[in-house]
Amino acid sequence: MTTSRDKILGAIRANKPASVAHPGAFTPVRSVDPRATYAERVKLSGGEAVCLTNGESLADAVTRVFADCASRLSFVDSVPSTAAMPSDDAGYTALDLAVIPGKLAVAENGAVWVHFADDRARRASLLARDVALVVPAGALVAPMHDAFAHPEFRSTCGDQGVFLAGPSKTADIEQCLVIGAHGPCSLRVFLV
Amino acid sequence: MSKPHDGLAHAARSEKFLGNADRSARHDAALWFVRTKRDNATRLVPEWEELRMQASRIKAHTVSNLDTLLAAFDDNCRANGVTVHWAADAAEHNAIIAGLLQKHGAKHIVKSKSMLTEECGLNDHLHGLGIETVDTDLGEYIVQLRDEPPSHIVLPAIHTTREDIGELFHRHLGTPAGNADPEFLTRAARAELRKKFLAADAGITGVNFAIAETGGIAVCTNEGNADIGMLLPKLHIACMGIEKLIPKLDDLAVFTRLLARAATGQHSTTYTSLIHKPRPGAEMHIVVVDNGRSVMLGRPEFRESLNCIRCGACMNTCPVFRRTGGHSYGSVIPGPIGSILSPSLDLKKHASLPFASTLCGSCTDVCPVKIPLHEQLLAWRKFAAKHGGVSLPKRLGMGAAAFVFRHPQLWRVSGKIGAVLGRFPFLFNHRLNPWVKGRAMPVIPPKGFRELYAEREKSKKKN
Repeated sequence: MTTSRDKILGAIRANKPASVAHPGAFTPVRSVDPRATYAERVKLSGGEAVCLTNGESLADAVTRVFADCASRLSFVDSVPSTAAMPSDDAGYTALDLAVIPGKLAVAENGAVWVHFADDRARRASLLARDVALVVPAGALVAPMHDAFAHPEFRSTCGDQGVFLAGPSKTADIEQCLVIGAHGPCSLRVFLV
Repeated sequence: MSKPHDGLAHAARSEKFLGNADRSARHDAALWFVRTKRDNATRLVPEWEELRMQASRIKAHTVSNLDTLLAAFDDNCRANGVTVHWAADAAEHNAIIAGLLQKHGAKHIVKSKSMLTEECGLNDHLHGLGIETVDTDLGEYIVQLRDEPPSHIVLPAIHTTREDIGELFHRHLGTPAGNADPEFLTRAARAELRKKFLAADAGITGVNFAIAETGGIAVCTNEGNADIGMLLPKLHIACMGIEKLIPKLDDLAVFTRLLARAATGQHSTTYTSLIHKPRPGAEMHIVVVDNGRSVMLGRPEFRESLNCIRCGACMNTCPVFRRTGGHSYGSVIPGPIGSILSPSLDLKKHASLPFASTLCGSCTDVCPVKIPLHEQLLAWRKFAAKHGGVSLPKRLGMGAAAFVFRHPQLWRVSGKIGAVLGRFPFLFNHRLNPWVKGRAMPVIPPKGFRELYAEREKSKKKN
């Protein structure tokens, strides 16, 4: 008995054209200044790239920038949490701030590659009201192709991850941009 | 229940939309605004044209090796702990999903944007089995509450006003009457849908790109609804057409650089999720669907339409779509690409769509994967004409015109008669002449080109 898989693959085999070779790797133009472009593109995406002021520790910077965030859950070692790990999804929804580590920052679109080794970090990143991403400054690349070639991406992409560019948003009501759709209402990136 | 698409031709449905001149103008301006954003973003990518060419070549390779690549995708998914199901048609797709949901006792489903599930009529099918599906993309949620299909594949509610939505939310969510503030209404939807997310038994998503090399899928949204929907419940079902496949992981860099810029002028969607494995303690299933795509694969003139990455850029630029709206097409996917894909599924129902075009070619210009859209629309017209897709009056009219053009003497005589009649505008400016509905009659000069040319040659000889 032919399965649907056999039927479909058979139909494809019968109808497909002569084989065309894959074009190979793509060579991007590397014309942008990564640091400057990154900050600008994060802003365009509705987020903000934060610089640490002189001598400020990351923990202090987060506290300063998110002064109105009472309950904070951090997955970054150097930034302490002020809330306990939630026991259910409602608990994550109640969080003001999630502090999430990122592996790479991409200048051309202001995105951060976040690998979710921990399911709880993924929950917090989506359900908390605000999000702070912490990325090593040395892990800034310009075009997406460099991100895909980077060891930090290649070693973590086989699981669950996201290129996260800015806070959640929608323009479904008369093309009016509203920041904060179903995911977080704000997003800030700390390059450290 | 969702109303079925009716059998009226595009022109007749467009009349309804155009009847409201304000709305048509607003719709036109809104979509042109999105087109402009696309232009601004693509200008900032120096190698934009090279990216388009690369994407087109990757797709050419993919479709010509689709069977082996799909088989590899299947193997790699299985190795990752993801179950792949194969559906030859819409009915099978619906049955597979219903079966999975019933096996898990799932009654409350959250679904993010998937035009494929719209194509298969999934929501209605599940409703018939007592399974409630909530579309969580804000635009789709709006049209779901309005009990109508989406009018655009990326901007589902572009045909509505904030007042429409204010009134809709007042009725369904209890927001204050008369409140039409987009931010307020969005927050109200956020609160309501957050409840649905938390109570969901299963999450259904689409697939923007499926990667053969690694068995992963990419899901792109701005709202984060797909991510929440596939995270909270213990069952995630992802639906994809066979043409969503791309060969290598590196190819995803090319397509993600193209998609958001072409669609909305953003340099990236907020969320570009890359999922290879199910989450701990949860199940992940992918339903791979044919439903006429292998037939399209076998049509050389239309094969490239399988390149489509569902960005909607062709809709945003098309002057006909902008002024008449997605519902005028009566097809799941409207606009230029819809007018190519739909006749393949049902020529009788959608024969008018390839004719709903001026063949201006703007769609072909903006397509990020270089589908020769306007050429395919013309090819469909030829096909439709051969297979009874053109009405009798039109066939007679075109036949008469062709006859006149083939006989130069007749053409000359017609021209002379036309010049005489043209001096009596009352003959043409009346209701029976469809030309003057939105246009003025062209001015017919007293002498035609041939006459003027002959006169000039004669006077040259004299001098």
